[in-house]
Amino acid sequence: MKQDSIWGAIFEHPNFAILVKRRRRLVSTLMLISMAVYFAIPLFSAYFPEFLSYKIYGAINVGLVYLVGQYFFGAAIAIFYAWRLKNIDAMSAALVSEASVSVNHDQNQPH
Amino acid sequence: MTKINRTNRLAALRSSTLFKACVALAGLLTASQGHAATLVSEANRPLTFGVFAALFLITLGITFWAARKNSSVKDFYTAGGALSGRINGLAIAGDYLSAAAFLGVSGLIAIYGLDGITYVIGFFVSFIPVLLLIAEPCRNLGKYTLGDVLAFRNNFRASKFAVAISSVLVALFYMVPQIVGGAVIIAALIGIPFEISVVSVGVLMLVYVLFGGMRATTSVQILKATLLIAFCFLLVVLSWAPYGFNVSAFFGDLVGSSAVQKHVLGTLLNGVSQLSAEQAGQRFMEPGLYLKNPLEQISLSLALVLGTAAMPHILMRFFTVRDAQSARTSALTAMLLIGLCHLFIIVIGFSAALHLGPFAITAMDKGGNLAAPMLAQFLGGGADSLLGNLMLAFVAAVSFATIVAVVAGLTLAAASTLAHDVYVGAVRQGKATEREQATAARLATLAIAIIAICVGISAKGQNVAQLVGLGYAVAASANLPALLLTLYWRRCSTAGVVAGLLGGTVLSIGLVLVSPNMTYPLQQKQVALAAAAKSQTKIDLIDKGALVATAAEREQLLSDVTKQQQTASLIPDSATSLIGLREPLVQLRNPGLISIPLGFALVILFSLLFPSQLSQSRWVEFAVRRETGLGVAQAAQH
Repeated sequence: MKQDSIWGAIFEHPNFAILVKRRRRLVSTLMLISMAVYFAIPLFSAYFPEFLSYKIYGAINVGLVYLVGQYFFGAAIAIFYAWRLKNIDAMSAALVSEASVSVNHDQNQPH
Repeated sequence: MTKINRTNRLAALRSSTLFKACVALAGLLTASQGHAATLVSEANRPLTFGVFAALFLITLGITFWAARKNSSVKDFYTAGGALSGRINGLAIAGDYLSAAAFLGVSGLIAIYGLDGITYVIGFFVSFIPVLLLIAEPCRNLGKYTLGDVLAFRNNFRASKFAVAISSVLVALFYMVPQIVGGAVIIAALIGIPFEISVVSVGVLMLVYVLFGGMRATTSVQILKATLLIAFCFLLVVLSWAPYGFNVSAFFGDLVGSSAVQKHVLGTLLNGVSQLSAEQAGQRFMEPGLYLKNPLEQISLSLALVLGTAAMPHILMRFFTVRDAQSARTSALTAMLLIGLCHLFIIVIGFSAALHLGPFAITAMDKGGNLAAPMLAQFLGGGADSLLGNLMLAFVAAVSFATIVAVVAGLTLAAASTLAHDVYVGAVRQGKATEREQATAARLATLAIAIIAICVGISAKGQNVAQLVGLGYAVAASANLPALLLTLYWRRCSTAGVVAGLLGGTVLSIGLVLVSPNMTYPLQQKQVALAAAAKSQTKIDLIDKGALVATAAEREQLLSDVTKQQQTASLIPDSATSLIGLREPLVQLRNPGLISIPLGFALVILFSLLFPSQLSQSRWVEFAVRRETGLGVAQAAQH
């Protein structure tokens, strides 16, 4: 009984919708950016090879920097996500404790 | 008390069986000497086997320790479910960094330059969807498998059964090339015959998984990841130290190397290019030498990037940690370690091209798979030095450990699907005692290992590398749409999930069956006839005096014509491919571009056509658990 009502209590809480929306916005933005950067590789290779071949320093060209850069960019996306999620974690923990208090409170009320 | 005694006896029994298996395997390994030209010379074989034996004993020790610690089904599937995020991340890296990545990719880069990097990046970028979309919600909602997550808000039996089909197929498609490719490489390295290599990978992996479960598998993966990354780092240091870590000077020498220049002009550009030697060297650093079809490349990339997030052996690792935060740390750590290792592998590839030259590498192995071991030998002091051969022995042992660790992870994932999803879930409807579950898990492990060994041996001489791509395609077209839409779409229903799982699997396999990946005898016949005609034209020109050639060269051309005509005449005009096609129906080798969108479309269409009360009614609890992790302790206990 107590468990069943807590799901509803959290789900109906206005902060839950905000939490879901925040996480979704963060995840979809990061997904979109990282996939765009990654899928640009085959497009550059096929349609703008001269861009990747442009020499920057000695034999090192844009292609090498762009490809190796994917690793640093990917790592940055991942670290940024983990860092931003700390806020969302805190929000979710607050929501859970608030909802459990109110559910317990409701059940202790005399009818 | 009696229970403890029983556990101890069981452990003792296990360890004595372990010992016997160990002796048998050592016998197998030493009995396989005396073979054709291999990278490890006859004289250095004892040294190599010494390194093998040391690594082998360490892993057996780990398994022994794990077997004593394991007692429950939960231990078997999730190593107790309380690993730290970082440790689990290291194990995921060990699970994911395959021999194909270490040996195959360094070879690709050594032969094709920049395009080799393009190929490997997908395996790293694929962890972004794992981290952002999958790791945390799966930990919050599942117990041992992907099937648990799907069955949470879908019909229990239907979803568990459907996901088992695609997941076992994915694991097998991914596993067979690991075993076969690994055995071929091991044969070229130290001359262990193919069959013995397949059997020893299979038996060793079976010993780890059967006796040590997830605990031993995890430890073997951690050991292997640490050794592999440390060894790659050593090769990078040895490659760059002579240049004082001046990266630009290193690449300057690479494009200035006459071996690389000749290789680009002669082999990669077929000798028809107008490039100067200097330009040809720089061409090695430009795209288009290996990946020539952008559509194919996008299709493969799509399957890689979306498939990893739905690979059963990757998902399974997220159930070994306590909560969503640890799952997040796992995915992040794994991603950083895999990226680091990839960066090392890129340097190793270029260093092999520079120090050994692409010709020497392809002469040893056409696919370039021996570039890294050859480089290790060279950097250690060459074929005649003790250090060089010790390094070579070490690469060989680490490669072997890599194959075993990856195969062990896959076997455990496939076995958990068979035992936990099919038997305990779909057949027994979730009602099975702890003892029954443990027996089911071990029997399933045995079954998967036997299948893997049999398929591995029968695949000798076949090109199975494309199966890896198919594994990713099935994961991305079947598992991922079902998982992602179950997780995030309220109206997703059982019908949609089952349609997506089965449809995605059938579509990806079907598309490969009608693709140019298959053998089309009539096309081979045309190729042979064209080659014969080409040689005949040359002979005609020589006879007319328009082409100068020696008698021996003319003789060679003549025998070519006969050989090709013979090949062509052996193929009847009615010959068709395996499934009865005269020519491929689609031109794509990688089905992802078609099958992934269709997989999503199937889930959406069938969910809208056949909505389910159950899936909707469980949504509230499902969404709250997914976001908050509330109830995760119960999920891990019941």
